[in-house]
Amino acid sequence: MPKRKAEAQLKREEDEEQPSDGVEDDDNDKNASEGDDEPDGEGNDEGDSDEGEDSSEGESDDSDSDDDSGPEASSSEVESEDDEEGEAYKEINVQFEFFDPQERDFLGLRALLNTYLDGQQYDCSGLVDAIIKQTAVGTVVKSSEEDDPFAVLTAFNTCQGIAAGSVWLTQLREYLTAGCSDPATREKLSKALSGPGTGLLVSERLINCPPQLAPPLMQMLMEEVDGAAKDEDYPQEEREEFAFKRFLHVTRVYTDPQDEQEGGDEGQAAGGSGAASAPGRDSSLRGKLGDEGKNALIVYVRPEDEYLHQVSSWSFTFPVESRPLAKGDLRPLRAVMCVEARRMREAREMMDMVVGNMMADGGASAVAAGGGNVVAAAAGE
Amino acid sequence: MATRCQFENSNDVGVFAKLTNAYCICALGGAENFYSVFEAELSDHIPVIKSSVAGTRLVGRLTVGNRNGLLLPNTTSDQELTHIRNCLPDEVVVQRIDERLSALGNCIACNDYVALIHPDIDRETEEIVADVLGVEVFRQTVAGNVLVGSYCAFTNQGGLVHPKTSIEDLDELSSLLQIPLVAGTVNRGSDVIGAGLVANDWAAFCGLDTTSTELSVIESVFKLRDAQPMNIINDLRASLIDTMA
Repeated sequence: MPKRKAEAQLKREEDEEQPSDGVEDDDNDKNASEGDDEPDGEGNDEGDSDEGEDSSEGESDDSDSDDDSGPEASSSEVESEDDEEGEAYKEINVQFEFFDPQERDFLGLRALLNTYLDGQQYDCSGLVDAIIKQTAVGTVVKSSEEDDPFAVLTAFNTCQGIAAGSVWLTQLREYLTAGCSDPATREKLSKALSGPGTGLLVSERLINCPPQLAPPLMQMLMEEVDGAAKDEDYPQEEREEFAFKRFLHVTRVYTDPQDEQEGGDEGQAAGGSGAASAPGRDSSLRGKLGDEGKNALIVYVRPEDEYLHQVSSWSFTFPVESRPLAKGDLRPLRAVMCVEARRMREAREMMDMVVGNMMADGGASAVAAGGGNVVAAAAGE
Repeated sequence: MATRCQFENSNDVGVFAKLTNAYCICALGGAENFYSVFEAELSDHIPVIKSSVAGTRLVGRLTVGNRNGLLLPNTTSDQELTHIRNCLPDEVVVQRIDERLSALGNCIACNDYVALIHPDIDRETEEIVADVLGVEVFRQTVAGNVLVGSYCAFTNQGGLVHPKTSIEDLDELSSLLQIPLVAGTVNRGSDVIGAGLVANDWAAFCGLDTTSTELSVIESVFKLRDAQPMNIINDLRASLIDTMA
């Protein structure tokens, strides 16, 4: 990486020295001054993005020679790409650290979880309070201790412990039950929520969090749950509380309305093989899909959702109110799935294979460096 | 008396309401809860009206006013301006001003005698503020933040400022404003005081998350109920943290 940055920096200086027209002069000057004004890190990143635009990392030599052959033409090409979408191509290195939820995270978590019931009012402070008070299980991802959380993942026992009987749980239960159109699934949902041994996963993340966050988060959660269930230092009730037999996962997924209309040729989503019942009301839209139709159109934004859905014993989705959708937009849905505890490991292993788990080799290291670069494409959202 | 309330699950009461000694403006909300809390407390004494400003519900942050007048940003529509003018008492001068920094509530904090303004506000606006609101105007920052309206809230009786305000700043502001000031938080640790609470000489409203310690401090410094600012030094001392070092 450092070498690449140095090369890019060099290329930038070359560009600046080359003679150029009036127009390119402006571009040159603008880029040069942008590079100067920003602190070093970002200046390098600008250079990086120049390189990034060329096809692949290893071929920097080729592209350099290309550029040399037609200096003015190619430099304007590079710069115009940069100018139009320069912001979108900037890379920022972010370091993610994992912490236990603490009182200082209250306001940040509240901001993350405010829309947990998709715009409906509910006792958000109660939920955040519960997350903070449950010290045995729960993880929060921040870039440093003082910052606001990017992501939170925790598990509550629905009928024992801190969540049982709380206002927010009742509101959540009502919300999910209302969204479930199939009576059989509603039965299962209500049994799961009221019966013992169910862990409700509360998971929320900022949009565009890198997928590499998910495996360590899930791993930590499972380790904490297992630890709490078996640790002899904890009192018996607490151990029972965390001896989950199944997990209820409530999350956000999307479907592509285009796909639905065209009959889903594009195969964008992973099929929900092994997952049960799609909501009845959607079958009319998916008529052309045939057997695959069950959940073939779902687009998962979080990596763990896909694998959990595959191993889930039952699930359902329902649409949520959102802003009016622009042409290419995906329609948001809420998905609820029930995963048996013994199949959790399977799902996690599949996910680790595909996404890669940075924690798996490093043992119990609590710092996962952002090997992902967070693309600051705020505009893209 | 300090009351806790919420606007549609948001604890930032100061965003959706503007409270002065002569009137109160609330945002148009889905549920009537918010408005009725204000009505219950205040309508016996002052008009409580509902309005939008610039088509948004952010009435607290876009407007600034006191007993003498109310200033609205240039994005306010004519209907809104007329509506507000009609509902407010005649003594209150309602004026729409042209200012680049249009979130007036974030840039200006005032009571009936003094105003603090964002250092970058136009000279013209400063004069209008002095004129319409009938106040003495000072360009100041609060704890290094230029958004004075966001990071402090004060009335004729007392004021609350950003928790990280240094003692020297506190003294300076206090002598400018001639009222007791305290550095504190609202809504369970939020440092955006101006967004978190609204207050006038006899009432204050803050979010549901506000802890009882925060509420006691608010009641003390704004001299609500029987509370006195001295309580902060005497009775409440044990539960308050002055500095960490």
